[in-house]
Amino acid sequence: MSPLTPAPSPKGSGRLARRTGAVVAAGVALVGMVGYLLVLNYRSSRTVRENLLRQHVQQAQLHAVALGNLFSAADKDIRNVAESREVAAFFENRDLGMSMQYGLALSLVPIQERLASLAEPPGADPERAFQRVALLDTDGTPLADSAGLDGTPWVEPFDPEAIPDGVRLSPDGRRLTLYRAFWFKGRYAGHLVAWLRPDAVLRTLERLAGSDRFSFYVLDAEGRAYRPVGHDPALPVLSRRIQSIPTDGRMVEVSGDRSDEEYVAMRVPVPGQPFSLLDVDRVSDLVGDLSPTASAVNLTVAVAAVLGVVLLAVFLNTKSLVLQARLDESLLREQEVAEKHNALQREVAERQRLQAAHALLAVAVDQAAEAIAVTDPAGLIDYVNPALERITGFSAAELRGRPLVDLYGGPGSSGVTKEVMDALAHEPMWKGEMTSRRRDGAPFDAHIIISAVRDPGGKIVNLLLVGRDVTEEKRLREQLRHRQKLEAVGTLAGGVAHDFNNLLTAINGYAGLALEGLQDGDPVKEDIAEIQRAGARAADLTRQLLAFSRKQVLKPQVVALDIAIAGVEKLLRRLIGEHIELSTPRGAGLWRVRVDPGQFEQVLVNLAVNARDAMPKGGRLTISTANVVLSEAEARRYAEGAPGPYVRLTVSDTGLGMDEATLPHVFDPFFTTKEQGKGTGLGLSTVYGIVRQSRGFLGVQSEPGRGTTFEIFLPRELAEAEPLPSPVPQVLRSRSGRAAETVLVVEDERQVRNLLLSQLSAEGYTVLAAADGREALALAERHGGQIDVLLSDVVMPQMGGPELARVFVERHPETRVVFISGYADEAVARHGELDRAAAFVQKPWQFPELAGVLRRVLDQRPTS
Amino acid sequence: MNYSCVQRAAKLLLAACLAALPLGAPLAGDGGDLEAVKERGVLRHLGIPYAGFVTGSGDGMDVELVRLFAQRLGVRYEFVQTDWPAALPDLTGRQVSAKAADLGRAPASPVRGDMLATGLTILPWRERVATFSTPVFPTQVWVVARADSPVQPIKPSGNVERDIAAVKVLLARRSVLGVSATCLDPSLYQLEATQAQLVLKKVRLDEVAPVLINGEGELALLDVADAMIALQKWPGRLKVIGPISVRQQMGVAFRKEAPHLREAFDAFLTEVRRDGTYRRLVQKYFPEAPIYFPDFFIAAR
Repeated sequence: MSPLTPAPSPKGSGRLARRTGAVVAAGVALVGMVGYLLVLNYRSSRTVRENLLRQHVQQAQLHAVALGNLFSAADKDIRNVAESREVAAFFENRDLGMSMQYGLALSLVPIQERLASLAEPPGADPERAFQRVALLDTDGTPLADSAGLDGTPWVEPFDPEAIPDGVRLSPDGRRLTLYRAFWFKGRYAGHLVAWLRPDAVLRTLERLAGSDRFSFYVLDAEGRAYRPVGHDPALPVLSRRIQSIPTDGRMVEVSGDRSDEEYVAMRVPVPGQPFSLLDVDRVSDLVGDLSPTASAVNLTVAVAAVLGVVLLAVFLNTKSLVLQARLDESLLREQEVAEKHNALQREVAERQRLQAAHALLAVAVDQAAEAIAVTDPAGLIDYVNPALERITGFSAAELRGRPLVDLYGGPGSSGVTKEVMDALAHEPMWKGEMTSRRRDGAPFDAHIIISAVRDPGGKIVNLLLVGRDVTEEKRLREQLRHRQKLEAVGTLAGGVAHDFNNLLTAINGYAGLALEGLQDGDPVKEDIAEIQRAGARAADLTRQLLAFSRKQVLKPQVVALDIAIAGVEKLLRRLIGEHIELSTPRGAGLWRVRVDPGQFEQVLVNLAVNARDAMPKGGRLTISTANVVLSEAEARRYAEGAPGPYVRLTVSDTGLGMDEATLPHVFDPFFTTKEQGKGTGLGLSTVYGIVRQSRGFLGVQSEPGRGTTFEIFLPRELAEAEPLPSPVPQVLRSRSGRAAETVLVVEDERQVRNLLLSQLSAEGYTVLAAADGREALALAERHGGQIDVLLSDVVMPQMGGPELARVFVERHPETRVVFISGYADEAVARHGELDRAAAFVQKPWQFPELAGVLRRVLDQRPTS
Repeated sequence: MNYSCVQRAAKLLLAACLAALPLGAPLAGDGGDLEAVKERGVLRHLGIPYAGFVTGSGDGMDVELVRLFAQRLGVRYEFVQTDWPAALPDLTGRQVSAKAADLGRAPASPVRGDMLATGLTILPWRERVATFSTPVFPTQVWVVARADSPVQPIKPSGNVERDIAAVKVLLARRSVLGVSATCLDPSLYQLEATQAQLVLKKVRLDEVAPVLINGEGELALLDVADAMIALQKWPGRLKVIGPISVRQQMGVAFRKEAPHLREAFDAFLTEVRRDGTYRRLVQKYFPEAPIYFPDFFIAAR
């Protein structure tokens, strides 16, 4: 011991002794543990070895089953051929006496094909089980052979009675052959024989055993091994030893031809077949080289290695703890950096979002349809958007720096700025509608909102103007209002006219009857004649009211307007007088339109009269026609215009013209600029009503001193034009002097009904009268005799005229129909036009007119 | 021979030629030899649905063969369907038949095709009106009966003439079905002398077997090609009694005025036999044929 070395203290010796004891105890414990592990390892090694060998036995049994299945499947294939329709047909034909030379050989062809399909050459289908298949006659002659009858002859003789069906090994062990005898009508008819393909047999075994370790051999009942050509396995044990191996599948140990090899072997029977499967394996191939002793040594070394590794791990662990602490700190810092990074990314994203929102706002303002302007607090313009430039015609550069009042103010609106500023002092916005001027001086109406932009302290920092051009909107509103007004007046006028017509029918009719009853020179006669004249004027007025209200009955037809104009030209010349020149240039190839020719004539007459009155000192009246196709924009110029193809009728004069205040009212009923008594104020209203009822529309342009132009647009009609109606000669009395026919009068107005009863009876007719449709039908039933004419009102309670006519004519086809009406009420308006075959007489009528229509209808009946 | 005799003979010859012209000359704008077919750009194949030669479904051994031939010539293929009585008139442009096989005297008719390939048996009268390719298929005509017929098949003697005689003996006083103007025409085999009751049916050749099975006759003539198919279709319902003709051969018919077209086809046939195409077609449409006629098909290789 070195003097420098400090002597161990008693305390230190005790500690050492304790340490030594601990070490010894640990060593004993370790040795004990190692010993325990060695025993454990030895026992488990034995168990593993036994299990491996048991598994191997089971595997061999599986292989035997697989081989048995292969043989069974092959046998089934051959059985199928033996029982096939083709084989039966051959023997059937042979039984019929057919010779091979004449026909029988043909029956072998499908059998030949079938056999060939079972035994394709190797490579075509690796699963095919047969190398060659043949159908042999009872004497062994091949009838069909998969190898072809001109191929290798079937050289294997066999005794058909001695060889049982199934797979057999050839004496030389080279071939497995399947035999199957077959019978026809109870007689032995031949054999099907097939060579099993070695490939198929060996592949079945290889697939189960694994390609790297083939150790199975097929033995027949005599213990001969199957050794196909090209697959000649060298058995590792001598053949004499094979006989000593039990055939019940037990595993036995045998020594190999080489003394240093140890083998295990077993023979497993192939189920259902006279074959067994021999398995011979080196023990080391099955369980490896690991013996229990070697395991113990290996285990000891392994334990020592594990201990060393544990110590090393403890050492390394200490170091790794330090490293871990550093790593944790580093991770903490990294986390902080990541959080900062995320916060920065959020901020960037927020900025990008704000920038995008700002850009979106800028684009929206730029592309907005509304005009937008922004000013400084003093109201000087900083910014205007393109819509404002478009509406006003001013560029942004021209407006920048100018007072806002220049935009929304107009003539006489200089005080608006103060008004706006006063409003904004108390309200969030100011809004108003006003007329302003564009850059080219054209006026336009605008709806404007001005709001204040304030800073957080409430101080105004900007003014924002948002405006909308409402010129077109106002124009449309005005058009709508005007149309509604005409509609309302029309409805009122139509309603009044209806009642008036019934009254006038009675007044005029009874006046006529009274007149007929008075002697010439009676002083009352002239008074009643005056009543009749007043009634006629009133009837004319109501007719015009009906025309305006579009509730008169039209009988439209397809016409060429220029022909219609030519027809009325003479009448117009008479109307306007010689001091006015009439010009009627007409467009070539004019389209056709659908109008009531009589009503169209009324339109021309009214417009001509209107023009005549506007040209007291003479002038020129031009009536022209043209085909036009109106675009959407062009159609908007007219209050009720719609785009499409039209025939345009233009009536223009060189008269006094009208001012702006008059123009909107020209079509109003009873509106007239003529002096009292010169006009009814219904002429242009009638024109308006007829045109609208004919699905057209019209417009008027006029300026004082520059004349007036009316444009009438009638929709194009594609159908062919119909001939214009020829004037019907007025037959004022029946041609026979006194009528002998029967008329059924249906009229809900009592006075009118009674009037008709009196007038028609006086004419000689037999008159039946009913108050409505149902009563009329019942009356006709009761009457029983022939009814020649049904004279019916159109609008009646319960059953209207058109419906009554339909039912009536169904029951009485010989009866003719004449309608009468005060106006075509809603029911007529809905149907618009009555059946053109039926006659119609408008209330109030002159009785001769009605009598003439009746006579004409009756005389037009077919004679029997 | 003096001058007047020569002159008279020349006049007679000229008159005969002029008289024969409207009868003998095929109609204008038709036919032609190989060059005309190439110039026209179309090869018109006359065919009749029959066995596997022309199936009627757009294919058949002859259809495929002629289609390949057209392809070889570089022209478009066109199938023209005809029937047995009209087949040779459609080819030759003359109204010829077995009983009127004189081309010079037969009236003219429109030419509708350039070659007739439809399992056509080479018969002497046909060779008088048309020229045939090298044989493309063998055939023979048999007598067949229903399975329940009392007539029993003959035992082959090894000599086909003796076998035919044996069969003819069996036909006496029995009804025998045939189809005129075809290879199943009884007149081709002198059956009138057998005292058989000959029944001529207007049916397609492949309908003869079902007609027989339906009981419309006791016996029928059937060529080997149809017999192959019938025995497959109706096994156990028919039996072959024996031959009524010696071994025959089928060929493709051409106009006698089209020797170059026939030569081109023969050259084509040699080539397809060599390269295996012909064998594949036979195998496709008549798989039994090489087994039944091994000598023909071995020679055809």
